[in-house]
Amino acid sequence: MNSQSYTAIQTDALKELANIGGGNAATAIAHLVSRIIHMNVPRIDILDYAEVFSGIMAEDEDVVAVNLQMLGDGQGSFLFVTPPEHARVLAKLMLPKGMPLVDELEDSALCELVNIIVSSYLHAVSRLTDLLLISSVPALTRDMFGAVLSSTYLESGQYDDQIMIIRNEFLYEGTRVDSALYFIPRPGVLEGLFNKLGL
Amino acid sequence: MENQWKVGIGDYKVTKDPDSLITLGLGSCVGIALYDRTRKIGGLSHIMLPDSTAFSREVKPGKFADLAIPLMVEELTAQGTLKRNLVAKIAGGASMFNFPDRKLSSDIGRRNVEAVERVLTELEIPIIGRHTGGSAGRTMVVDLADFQVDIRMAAKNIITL
Repeated sequence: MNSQSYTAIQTDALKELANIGGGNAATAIAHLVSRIIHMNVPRIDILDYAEVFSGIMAEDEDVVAVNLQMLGDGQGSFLFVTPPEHARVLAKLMLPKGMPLVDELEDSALCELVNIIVSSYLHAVSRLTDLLLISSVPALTRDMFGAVLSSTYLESGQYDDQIMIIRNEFLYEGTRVDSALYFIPRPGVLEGLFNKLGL
Repeated sequence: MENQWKVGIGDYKVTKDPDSLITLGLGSCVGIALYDRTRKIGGLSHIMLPDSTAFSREVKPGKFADLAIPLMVEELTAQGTLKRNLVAKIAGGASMFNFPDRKLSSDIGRRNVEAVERVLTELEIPIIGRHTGGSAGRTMVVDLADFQVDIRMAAKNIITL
């Protein structure tokens, strides 16, 4: 990705798409769990890895990460990242009150949550852009942030020293729960999108 | 242990005993530790990709197995090491997410490990310890006093190479 070459209008359009996609996702989850879910204004940054690990999260920080592949008219990856203690809170949101939370159940509840987030995100973006965008089944891992993030960029064919961070942050009512959704497009996917939007 | 030098992603460093070297969060990336036991000098590299030849633009050599390892050897020999004294230990090359559909993965971890092995074979540097593949991230710590290499994995014990 030659990320430096995007115009201000293109970056704004991207931010707006992330805003609408993320907003739709937050609404879907809020309906499902009957709680208020907030979303911060999406961030779009172009950073090198050192800046990511000093500014967002250290590379050896333990996280729970769920990855879904975007398929259809555009390819890429969605990566949902949350600290282990917050993963537990999010999984509990998805389950009936009082249900004992075993590890396997926690992981599958979290996968389902992210599945809903990403499909509602893509549903909104598909409608806006008239592109058919769908997501694969989720895959979950508990590991170091650096290992998870760099591998996802490299697997998506993003080989630059500088990476484009497209990030939605979700906040859940009551307890503050940190979670972020990264979108990593395959090379050329954003160019196709801008073409389609006439930008 | 005096100073512990951190090697960032796509970078490498060369130093000597009593220092140690560390690199954090190797996923599909591979860490390559080189060592000359006679002079207690060594290096650590954190490569991201197997091969630089497909990239026409100016590249950061530390990112690529085919550039980083020879450069690290050059720096070591410039400091008086003989190439035939060098030995290597490698770690990383994981596939972080197990998708049921193999087509969803480009298997970059495995390709990185293969490239590192190929470059080390060409340079006639024997690999005397390794912990590669699988689906877990790794942190690699290299003690240049005795070339003990510790591999830390999330929620697992330390493995010593």
